[in-house]
Amino acid sequence: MQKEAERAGIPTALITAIPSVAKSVGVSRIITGGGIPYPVGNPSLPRDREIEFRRRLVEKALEAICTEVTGPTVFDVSLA
Amino acid sequence: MRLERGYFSVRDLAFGKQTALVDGILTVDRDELTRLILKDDENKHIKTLTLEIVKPGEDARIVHVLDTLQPGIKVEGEGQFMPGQLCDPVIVGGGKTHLIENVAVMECAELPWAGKSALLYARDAIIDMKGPAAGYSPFSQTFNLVLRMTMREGASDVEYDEAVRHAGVRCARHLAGLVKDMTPERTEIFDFDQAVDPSLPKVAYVTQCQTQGTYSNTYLYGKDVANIVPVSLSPTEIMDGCIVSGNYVWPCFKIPSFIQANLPTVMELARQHGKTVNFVGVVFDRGHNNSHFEKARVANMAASQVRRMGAQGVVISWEGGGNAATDAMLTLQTCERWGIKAVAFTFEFGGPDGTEGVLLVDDVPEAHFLVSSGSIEKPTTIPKVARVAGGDVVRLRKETGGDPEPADVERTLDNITPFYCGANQSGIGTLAGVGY
Amino acid sequence: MAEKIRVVHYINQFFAGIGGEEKGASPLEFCEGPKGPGVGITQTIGAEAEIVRTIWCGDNLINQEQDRILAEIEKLIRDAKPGLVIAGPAFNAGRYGLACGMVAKLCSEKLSIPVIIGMYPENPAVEIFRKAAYIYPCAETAAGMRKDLPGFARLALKLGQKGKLDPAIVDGYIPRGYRYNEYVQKNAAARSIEMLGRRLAGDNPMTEIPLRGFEMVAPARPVTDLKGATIAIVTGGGMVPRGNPDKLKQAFADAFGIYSIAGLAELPAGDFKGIHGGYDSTWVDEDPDRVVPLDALRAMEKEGKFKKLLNEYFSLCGIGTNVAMSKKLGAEVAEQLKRREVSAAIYTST
Repeated sequence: MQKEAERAGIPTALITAIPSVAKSVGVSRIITGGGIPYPVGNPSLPRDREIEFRRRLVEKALEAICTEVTGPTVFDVSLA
Repeated sequence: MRLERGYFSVRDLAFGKQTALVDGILTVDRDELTRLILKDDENKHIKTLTLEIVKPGEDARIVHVLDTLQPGIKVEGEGQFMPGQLCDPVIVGGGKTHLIENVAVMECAELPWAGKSALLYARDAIIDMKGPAAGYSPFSQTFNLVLRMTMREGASDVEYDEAVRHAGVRCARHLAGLVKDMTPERTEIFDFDQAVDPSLPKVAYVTQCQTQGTYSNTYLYGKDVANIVPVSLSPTEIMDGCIVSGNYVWPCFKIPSFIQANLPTVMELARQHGKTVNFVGVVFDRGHNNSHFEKARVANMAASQVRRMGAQGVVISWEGGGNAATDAMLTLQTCERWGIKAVAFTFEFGGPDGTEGVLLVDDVPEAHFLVSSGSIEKPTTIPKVARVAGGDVVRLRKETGGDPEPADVERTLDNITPFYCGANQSGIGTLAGVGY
Repeated sequence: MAEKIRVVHYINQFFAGIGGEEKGASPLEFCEGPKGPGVGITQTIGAEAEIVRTIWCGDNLINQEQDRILAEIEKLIRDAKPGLVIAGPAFNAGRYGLACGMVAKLCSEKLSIPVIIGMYPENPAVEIFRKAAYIYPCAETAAGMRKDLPGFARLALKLGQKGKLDPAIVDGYIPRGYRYNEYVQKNAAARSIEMLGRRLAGDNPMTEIPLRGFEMVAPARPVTDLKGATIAIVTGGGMVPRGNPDKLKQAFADAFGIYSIAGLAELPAGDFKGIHGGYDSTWVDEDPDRVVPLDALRAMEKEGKFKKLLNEYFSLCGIGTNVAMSKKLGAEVAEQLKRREVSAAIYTST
């Protein structure tokens, strides 16, 4: 689905727990997320730390959208 | 380990004055067996239990199918068939086990859908005994004793899950008790203690199960395997039922307990052991791991077990949809990178004529040797049937309300997901995607 | 004796003996009976089939004037009343391959006559025409003619006799992409053990499931002015308003929903629910921002990191959706994003 947005000229970034699938499908900007049932979060963190983690994931996604890429690129965000 | 399996085959299954197996006819004292099963349901989670019989070739459909078990009993050797289920988790796989080959005990219940997770609820599972869908599961060929249950409101998923499983286990064990002291019609001996011709290739099997929470769990020696680190098991442990299924979430993506104790890859390799192969063992692990890191960890550790057994080749299969395919494909990739030749079998997508998009959700560049267990994206029109067991309705599509609809009518289903074992993930069925 | 199957054979200027590349503009011509490779074909299947007409055209001409030439070829084929059409073998010749493909398409789609082409598997024409005709795999160059022709001819005969062929793995043609469920002799477990056995013996058995690659799309240009950008959220995680008002499906999606987040600083639990059938929704039900990160984005919008967060988000359940439908839905979402002048979008998936 994302590739159609890219084709229409809208840059996108994907936050996902399975970057390998996203890479083989050909998604351009991939942010490794928290986990399959919680891609933009992590319930094992205390609530305020989880919100901080979520913010870092979204910031990385915005950073990726502003970055030139030539093919599927993974942007990592550490939990700590 | 060395295991001798003694098989009994019935010619008919019927309700009668006593529970007995005489002359190949298994009769069941319906009231007595019902009482026996309910007696141990101390907290009365089962509101009603009705035993029903469904036979091969009948114009019948079975719905609400949860787990299906085989009547089996150990007559020699440590532990019980299905160890850890209402008994101690003693290691099995030695001695002698008696099994009734063609009788299946089926737990059928309309488990409550109230306020649950979008994944973790029992989607309605259908078995047709004849017609175009009969081939989707092996249970159109077995004499099925259906435990049709309704549950009392107000309990939790964990409790319902245990109640139905215990009912099934008790019933299967009770029937198996009939053949404990009888002489089997035929036997098979699986001896993994003898030395094997060193020129035979060493082969292992990786069976990756689904375990994602209550209603989608798999039990190893009586406990679910959420945190499992891949483990190597003897083929005979598998044959003695050390893996029991509590996985009801997606009808097509499941391997019920009956099949777990008779996994065709295990049985065939065990039969070939010492003749054409050296079957060095089975690796058991779980898929649907929640992050790429965890998937890679499980995959690598499973491959490590395969390597540790000295395997030169490995067959890999899994239970569950696309999420699980990733874990298994990573296992395949690591094996191949280490020079262990891998073959995997899996269901496909592809749409009604096979040309739509991808066939597999995930794969790795090393997956050049794959066997097909059939496409799940084919429509099937099931006929009106004379009789439905297990329940009266089917509930399809919970996410849009899930209203109950009559189970006996003719209906066209867009894909194979509602059919019990329809994705053929144990490889037991001969359904395959054939390319033209 | 049964009547011989009537065959029409299509070749190009080179195999008709006129000349090579330089004769690519030579006109459409025909003769009665076999010519060029048709003679070799006749040697193999002449007892049961007869090439009654051979048609040829310059490779460049047919590619440049497709409509006109194909209309004439259609007439020539109809008049010959064949039960089978053979084209090639074209080996790896690109334009000849395309010509064979066009003729084959004409036969299968318009004339309903069984047709078979011979080509090198990597000839670019294979990808384009594989659904229109059976393609017998041949060598890369005409040096392989002697070796390939008998097998090609025999398979052509079988096609002429039966009207269609057995599975690709049985008859040896290049799989056209069609796949149907059938009950086969041995179960998947047994076939896997056999395939592994052959690999361990040093063989290279053919896979039953070919891997299909994904189309690569060039990434869109990045955003240069984030402060002036409008950002939108799209989720495949199936987060929808309670009650699933649009009745979105939990799998095999065929539609998406657009839901308002106007005035919301976060997605409130209870008002929104996860309906995706492929992951345990407990955590996102507890905190929907775990799959639709509204709280983080709203905070950043307030801080001026970007100009505006779109007041709606897009949602569907991304499991089991086939590629064709995904493309269609993706294009529709893209259209909606463009109409709302969205500069960039954050997607989340599970």
